[in-house]
Amino acid sequence: MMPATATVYLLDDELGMVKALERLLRVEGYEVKGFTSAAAFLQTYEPGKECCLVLDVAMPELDGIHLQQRLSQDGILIPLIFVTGHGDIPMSVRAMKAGAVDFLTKPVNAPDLIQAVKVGLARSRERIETALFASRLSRLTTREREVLEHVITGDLNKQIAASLGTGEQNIKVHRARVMQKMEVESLAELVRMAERVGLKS
Amino acid sequence: MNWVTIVWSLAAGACLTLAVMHSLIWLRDRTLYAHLAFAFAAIGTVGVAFCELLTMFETDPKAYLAILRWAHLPTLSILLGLAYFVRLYFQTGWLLLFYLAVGTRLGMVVVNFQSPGNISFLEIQTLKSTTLWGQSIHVIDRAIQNPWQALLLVNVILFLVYFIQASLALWKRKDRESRRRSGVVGGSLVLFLLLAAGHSSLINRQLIESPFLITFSFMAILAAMAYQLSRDVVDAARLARDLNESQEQMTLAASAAKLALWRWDVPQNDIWVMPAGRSMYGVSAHEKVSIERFLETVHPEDRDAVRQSLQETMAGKETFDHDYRIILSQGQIRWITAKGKMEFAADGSALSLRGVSKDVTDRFQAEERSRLVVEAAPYAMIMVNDSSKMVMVNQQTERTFGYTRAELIGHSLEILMPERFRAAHGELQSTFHQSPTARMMGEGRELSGLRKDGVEIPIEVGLTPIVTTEGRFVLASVSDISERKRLEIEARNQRDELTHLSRVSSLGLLSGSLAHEINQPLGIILANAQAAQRMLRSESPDLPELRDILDDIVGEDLRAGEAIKRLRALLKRGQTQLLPVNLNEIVKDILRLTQSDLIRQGVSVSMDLDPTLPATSGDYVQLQQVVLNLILNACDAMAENPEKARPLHLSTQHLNGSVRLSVQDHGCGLPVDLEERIFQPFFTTKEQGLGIGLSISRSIIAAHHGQLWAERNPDHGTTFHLELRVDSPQNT
Repeated sequence: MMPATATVYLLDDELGMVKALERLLRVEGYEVKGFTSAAAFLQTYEPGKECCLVLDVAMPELDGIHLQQRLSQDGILIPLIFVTGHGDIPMSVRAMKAGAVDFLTKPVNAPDLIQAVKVGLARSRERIETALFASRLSRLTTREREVLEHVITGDLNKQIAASLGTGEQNIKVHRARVMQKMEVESLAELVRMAERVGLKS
Repeated sequence: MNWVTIVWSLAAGACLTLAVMHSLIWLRDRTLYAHLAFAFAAIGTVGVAFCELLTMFETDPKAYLAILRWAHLPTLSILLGLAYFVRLYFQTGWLLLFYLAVGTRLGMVVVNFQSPGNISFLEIQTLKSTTLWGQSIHVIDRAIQNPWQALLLVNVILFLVYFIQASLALWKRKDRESRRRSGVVGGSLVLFLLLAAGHSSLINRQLIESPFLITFSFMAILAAMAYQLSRDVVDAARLARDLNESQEQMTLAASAAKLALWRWDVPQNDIWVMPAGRSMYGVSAHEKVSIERFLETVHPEDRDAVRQSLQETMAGKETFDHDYRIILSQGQIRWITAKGKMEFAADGSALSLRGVSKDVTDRFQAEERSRLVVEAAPYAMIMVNDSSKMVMVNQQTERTFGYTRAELIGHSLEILMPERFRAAHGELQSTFHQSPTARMMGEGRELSGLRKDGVEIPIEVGLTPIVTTEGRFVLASVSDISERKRLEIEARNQRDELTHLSRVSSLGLLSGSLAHEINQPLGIILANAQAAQRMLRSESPDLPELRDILDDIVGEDLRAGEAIKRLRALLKRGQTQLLPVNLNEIVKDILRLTQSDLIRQGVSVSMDLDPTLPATSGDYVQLQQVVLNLILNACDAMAENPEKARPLHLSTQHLNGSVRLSVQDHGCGLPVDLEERIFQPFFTTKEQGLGIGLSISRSIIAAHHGQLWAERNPDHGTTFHLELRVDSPQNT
């Protein structure tokens, strides 16, 4: 059901909690990796993979909020799902503003957690997709990019040729190149991808 | 005047003087009949002297005869006087002889007056002149003798025999006084009577011609008698002086001792009292005092008892010994102690009661004062003799134990003790008597008294040994400390209540930690359980994994239970329980409890716990409260520090005989000079502090006989030290 590459990371200073959540998420079919210290997590973490991190706010040494700051400083974009024993509102607002997926209070109910993990992984996937699309987009020539911009707004080849001051045949070639470079097979797919990377249709 | 007249008149005068003197003596004291007898003899001598003088100058024989006849009357007076004197003065002699002599003499006087002339002469025919000391006098010349004159001789012999016999009898008594009387009086009597009678007889028988000269013989006798009597008077005077002197000494002694001597003449109902005694009883100097008058002076409340005591004395008890009060005219009350001895007549009737009274008001007042002091004492005071019997108790004893005085006196002290203390009391008592020193009993242990109604009361006892002439006693002062105990319990309850409140409020500050303590295991349980539920939905559940899950659930559940138990203990309002505790355990427990809050507050904890720390005796919960309070205070002190600079250091040490916990913060530190004030109740430096945490902590540590104090760190912050004694060194 889930892509085998998606990983859920767990971080809690208490092993019992790590184990319990591991079991829960594993039954749900997730690949789970648990840690009891932030340092251990940082060593194992592989960027670019579809993943999310479920972490306890209150931990000795490096607590959840501080870890979030550090990850963002290091440019590690991993969706974070906070779990806390006694969440207070200011802390949760800070966490959410800093891009957290969710802020759950203990005891955590399984459906809530699973939902949050789903969202987290989806966000992770989107991020990866977006990064992929952006890198493909960067491979286009200027002319190809101009053509792309027109294509996604729904313009016909004739209109594009007129707009760019070139022949319709040229546009066809460029358009095929764009589809090839962007690794899409349909216009709809291309439009979705363009939206993802922020090109307005 | 001629010599004859002068001598006879002088003799008569002298005798008359003696007669008057001794008559007066007798009149002054009618019991002195010897003086009366002497007076008779002297008066008789006066009469005889006159008769003799008259005859010498008489010229008529008939008149001469008549004078002689009348001369027998004074002679009778002389002889009767002498005989009676001897009888009284010698107190001996044959009574028969006395009556015979006196009787015959009376008979002779009758014969004398019945005869024609007198008993000596029937008739004097002629007188003749002769001279005496150059003076012409008359003597009998011729006369007819009366045959009855032989009787005169017989009579004189009877008197002589009586006198001799009496004198000899007296002489035989052998004491000096008797012999002197016998010699002087008896001797002169016999000698001069013989002389007078012999001379008279010779004249009567006309063997000699001489005037009668018996006056001088009798005068000699009188002189001897007078000498003896005057000796007696002198002796009596000396005796009286001696008596007076001894009486004066006695009065002096009596008044110095404030004693009043008295004598009650029972038949006369007259009481003689020394003057000092009269003033003692408030009776005027000349008032006659009867027994009724005496009883009037006695206090009405004591009167019946005194009367009763007097009656018993009269009925044969002999001694009178009574203490009573008298009321003086100003209404003043005096205490008198009186002792007396009754004399009884031969028939057993009471004659006189002699005795002595003493004013003992001062002593009674002193006794009364000390009695009042004992009575007014706010303690039960009990005097116990060496056989543990109560000999004195005061009013407070009656009140404390519910017994009346009569129910206690003479009974064993043990009736005031609960059964279980009685055996121990015997032992204690004998040790106390061996080394009697004043001390407090029951210090450091509870003593109980037993009231009459069977209720036990907590008491405190002080013991004082008392040595008197009557023996050794112990004075126990017992105070009922029920009320004090009640107040102590109340104060302790209040303190416990406050301690509890403070503990609960401290825990309130730890809400985060408390939630973590419960939520963490609950969260783990929930996650495990939900994982298990989902696993069971698959067709082939992983059974070993399920088993692991259940194990973990059980473990976490137990952990949650433990946490709740710990919290309950802290929230409970329990009584102090002293058990062996280890400070390290308490520190670890409290850190576990506060961990989550400490993390949240950015406090980093470091510990240096001595693993060899011995256990001490203490109340686990209360000591936890103190440690919690110290840790929370340390966190508060560092709240203003930058986040990474909030170190809290906890260390324990085993010192010599004690253990110490030090809680060191790196906070703002104590203001100068407040190291001690912070322990006062309601003193706080925090905006929301109540100021009771440290004062309660200190009272808890004080109740553990430990110490809690604060110390400024050399660089930053404060260190609190908590020190507790280690009960037994082997208890490591």
